Amino acid sequence: MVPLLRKEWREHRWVLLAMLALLAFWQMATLTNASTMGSPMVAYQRMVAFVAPLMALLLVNRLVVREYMGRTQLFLETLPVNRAQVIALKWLLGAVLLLLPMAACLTVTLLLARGQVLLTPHYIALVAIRSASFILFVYALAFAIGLTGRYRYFIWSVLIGSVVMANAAGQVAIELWPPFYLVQESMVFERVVLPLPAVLITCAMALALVVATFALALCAEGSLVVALSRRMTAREASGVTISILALLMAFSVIELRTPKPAFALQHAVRSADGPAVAVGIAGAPANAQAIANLLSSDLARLQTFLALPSEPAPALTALPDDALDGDVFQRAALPNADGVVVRAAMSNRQFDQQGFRAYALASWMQWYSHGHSAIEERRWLLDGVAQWLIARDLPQQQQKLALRAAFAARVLHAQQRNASTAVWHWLLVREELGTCLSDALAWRMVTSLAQQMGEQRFQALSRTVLAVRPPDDARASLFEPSFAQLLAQAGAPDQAGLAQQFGRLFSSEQVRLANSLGQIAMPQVSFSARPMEGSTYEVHYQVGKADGEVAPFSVRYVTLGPWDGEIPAEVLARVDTARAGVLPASYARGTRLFTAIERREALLDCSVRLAAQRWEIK
Amino acid sequence: MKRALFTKELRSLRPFLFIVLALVLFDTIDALRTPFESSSFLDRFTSMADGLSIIQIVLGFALGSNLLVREIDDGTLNFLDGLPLKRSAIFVAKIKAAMLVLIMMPVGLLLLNAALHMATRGSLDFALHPALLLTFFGLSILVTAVSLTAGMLFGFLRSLCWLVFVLCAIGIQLLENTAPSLASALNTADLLTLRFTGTDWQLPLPTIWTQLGATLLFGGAAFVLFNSAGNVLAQVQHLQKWRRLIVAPVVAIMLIAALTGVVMLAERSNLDSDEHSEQADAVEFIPIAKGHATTTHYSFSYPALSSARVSALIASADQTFVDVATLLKMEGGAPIDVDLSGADENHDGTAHLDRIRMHVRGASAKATLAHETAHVFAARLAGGERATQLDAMMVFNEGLAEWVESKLTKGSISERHELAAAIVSVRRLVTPRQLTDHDAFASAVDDNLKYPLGAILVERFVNRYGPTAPRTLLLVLARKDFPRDLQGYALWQTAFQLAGFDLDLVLDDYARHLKQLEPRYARQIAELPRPRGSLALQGERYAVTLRMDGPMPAGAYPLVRFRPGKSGNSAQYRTSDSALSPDGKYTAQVPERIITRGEVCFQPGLMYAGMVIYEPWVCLPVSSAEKT
Repeated sequence: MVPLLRKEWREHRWVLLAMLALLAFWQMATLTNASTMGSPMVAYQRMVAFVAPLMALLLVNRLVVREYMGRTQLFLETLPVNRAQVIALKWLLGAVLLLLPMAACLTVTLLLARGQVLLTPHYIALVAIRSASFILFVYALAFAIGLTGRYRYFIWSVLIGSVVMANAAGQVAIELWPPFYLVQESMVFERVVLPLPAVLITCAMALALVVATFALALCAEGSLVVALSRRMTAREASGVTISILALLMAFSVIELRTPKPAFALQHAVRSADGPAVAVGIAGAPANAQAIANLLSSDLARLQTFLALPSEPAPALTALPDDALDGDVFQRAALPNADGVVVRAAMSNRQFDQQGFRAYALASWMQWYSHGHSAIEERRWLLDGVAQWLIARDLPQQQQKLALRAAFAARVLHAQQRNASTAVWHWLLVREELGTCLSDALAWRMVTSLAQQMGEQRFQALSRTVLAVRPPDDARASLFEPSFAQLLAQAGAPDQAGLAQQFGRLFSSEQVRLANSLGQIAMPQVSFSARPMEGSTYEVHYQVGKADGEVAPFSVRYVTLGPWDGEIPAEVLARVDTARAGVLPASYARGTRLFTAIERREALLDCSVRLAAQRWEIK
Repeated sequence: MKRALFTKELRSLRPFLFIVLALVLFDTIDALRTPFESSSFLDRFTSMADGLSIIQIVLGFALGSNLLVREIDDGTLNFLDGLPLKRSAIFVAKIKAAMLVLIMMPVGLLLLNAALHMATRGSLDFALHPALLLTFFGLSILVTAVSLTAGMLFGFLRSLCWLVFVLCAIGIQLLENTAPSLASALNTADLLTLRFTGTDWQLPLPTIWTQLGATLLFGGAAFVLFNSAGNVLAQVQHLQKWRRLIVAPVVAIMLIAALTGVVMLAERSNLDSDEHSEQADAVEFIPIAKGHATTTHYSFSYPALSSARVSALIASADQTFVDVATLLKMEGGAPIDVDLSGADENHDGTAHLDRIRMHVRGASAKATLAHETAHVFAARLAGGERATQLDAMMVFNEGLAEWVESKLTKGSISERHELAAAIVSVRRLVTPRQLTDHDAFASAVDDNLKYPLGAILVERFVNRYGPTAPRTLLLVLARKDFPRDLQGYALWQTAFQLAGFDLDLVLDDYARHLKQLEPRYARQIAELPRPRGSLALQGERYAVTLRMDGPMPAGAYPLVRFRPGKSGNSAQYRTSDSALSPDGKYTAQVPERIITRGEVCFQPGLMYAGMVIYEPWVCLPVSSAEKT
């Protein structure tokens, strides 16, 4: 045995010395950085967690992999020692060469940490036991895999990939599994309790790996290891790579974690009967109860109108949010299982209750159809039906919407848009008009269509367009009929016909409501980019006259990229003012911007958007 | 003959072709798992570019590393030498075949994404912008060429080639903090980062030229080695003994460099290059021995000659422990280890698991101890070593500690904190929900605002749900079945819901409270001007010139925060104070090495009442600078 030890020493001495030098260097580096780690002992934890596995790999590579891949083990077989003794010697030699330096690292760390950490024998024993168990496990694993020859990279890849994926998909984090638990950061902060189960599991796994190592090395008189150490062919390598990729892909869809619970409001009033609606209490509970009952009856009416089945029927939750303006509503971006959660400033004096009810219905329909009903070509129908259902029994609301719609048509006309734009490019119209005016315009369009088709046929059309619940995958995009096909099926005019019909409607409405519209000012709005220093620009805005104050307004703006579609209201920056001014930002030439003016219009009882445009600074 | 050679090369690359096709197939399957409309084209394109930049480099390098060397090692080059072909023809055929196989990936993915866009586009994002797609394809070819030629060259190092690859990757990563501009020029993956000004691709010209040069260099060197293969090999084998002597130290050095690099990368998040750059200790003293003191609830370590300074703190420490525990309605638990020799720069104290590190600075030390003790208690309640969820709720965690500190020292939230909150509310700098997303919060406003805003949020939370509410919430985070790795609003909302609270009602209370603060501080806020900046070239250095829309109030001064490129982690941010020039303009110097890809990204701000109120980020090309 001694000659074998001498042979190993002669063969690996320089590498071993280099490894020790590296270890010393690393120890120095981690201790130097220990000031930022919370405790100097963290330096040792890092050594055990990161350096010890690398050292184990290096030692195994020298002691085993080189021997078998280089076929030099054939020489050993001619010596008067049996195969088991050779493997045992190599295993023990590697273990000693790994444990001794790490013990030295622990001693050095303890010496340097004694001023900043209270060291007790119990604490030192805890750290030593945890680290020794982990190091032995890692070494045993590396040794066993080292014997698998050309498949060692594959096994490491699968092993590491599996651990990463299991960590990503499982409920328990990887650092809480034995053996990783032993060397997680708390290893050097835990002063009282030894995690005995983790230590025992780790040691048991190490023992099992040792058994596996000997079984592999001695199986078929050692010929299995020799067979495994042959080089991989290109075809085999390609197959292995694709297998790994496929495994990773398959793992990525596995989800074993405790799911996030569906959203539920704890302290809320709930609808007395009908579909479940919860409203968060802000201000008087009676107000919240009234809103809950209203929303519930709206939902019931919607479900009857669209003949929706009782399942799935998510809860509708309305949250108060005083940070919002009275006519601004938001739908929470939550997973589908959470149902529909909307919020508004319900205690605000300017709270637009009817608008909120319609918004809640539209959000609910979007949820139901997996967003399918909000595809651009059918979006105006979604927006309009929601408004139409709410305003059906409210003549005052209808008057208000009619006036808003007429004003919307006027704004569209001023921007050289027409009814065709509304039918074909609804998102563009929504962006240019803002929510209040575009909702009213959609209501006007839907009202007209319902009158023309008759209630029953219109109801049938709405059901085929809005009450579909396609699968939540690509089939929804590939196999669902288009809006044009649905219009034809329901006996409605085609989109060109609708555009003509709506064009006539917009004109007649503007004539009918000319007196009221005449009272609403359409001020001149301008945005201009002016150079600052160099070729940097600032953006000036002006509403009405250049000097002095006008009615208060808001400037909304955002920088755009090349493929930016619908702009969420949340991303629009805002400046509230009453005079011409400059945006608090600077821009490079070529920057693309969206800018608009928003102004509260008393007659329309909402904020209207004027002069909205996407433009480029040149 | 050349055609046959090309066909032979293509045949030998079939395994790689299968891998490339498998990757494209996996991406297609992934696209089919959701409705096409569920992601915007920009999201899909960004995701594709991120993935492709890595995959293309690895694939190119892997293919290249075997392309030439395999012929030599397998001895098939001798057979090819017997054919009427020059080695240059073989070299060209190999490159052509390899490029053809490799560009299948960007072609496949671009076509897939373009088709999805055509199928789902609306009126607002109708344009396909083929010029941008072609630019991306061109850049993909460059990425492929660089990685392929690098693989071909370093493949001659045989088994060491991947070590070189890793070393290069680590080196570039390490340069990102110290020299971001150089790092981006050397980083091949950076070519595929999407950067637009309006509808124009902002081409990273320094990176393109560097990578083109590298391609020619690698390709040329690989050709020379391939052309001389056989002769060189014979000479190398002749120097067998010397080769061992040279290779062993080189390998050792490379290994050391790689391992050191990995450690440095791992530690980088904790390091601020400015803080740690050459701190020259001009005067050295004999190290002071350490002192220890143990009280009922703490074990203190401190410099032995500083006992007088720390004695007052130690004397009152147990009371602080009890006060904090009482406020949080908990028993406290095991003693806490406290290191009084200092904390991280810019911090009075830090807490990590059951350990505190802090400075002792007069009367404020007690407040610091209370603050850090609150962190330790919060972490204990939230599961100790499992308290990663609490770390992700940064504003709540810091807000709770700040609230405890305020309660124990001042009795209520300070006016300074209220002013900060009022400014945030009036200017709509942070929506209530943004408090739940710390990354977005820190990139939008001064990170220190988490203290006042967090403290007010916690106060509203306690007002609504009572003094045991924080404890209840923290205990929920410690539950083993708490959903893992949630982020942002989903994490907060789940924690609150499982604890029986309503996050949205708390946020509503918070928003209402901030609105109530607005009129109280309206005058002070109205006096604060809003700065905007432009670039100026002063001699050889760039500066940001600031314009204000109002006069500067007393006690306020403008400053500018910079970051390298359009995105970057907060460790890379640099702040420059401004100076008032004789012509009445405020100017802030652009820090060295912050200009990346020919542009300066900055955020003008105003320091007022101990906090900075930042305007949105702006990125301007250096070509827009005015020469002064």
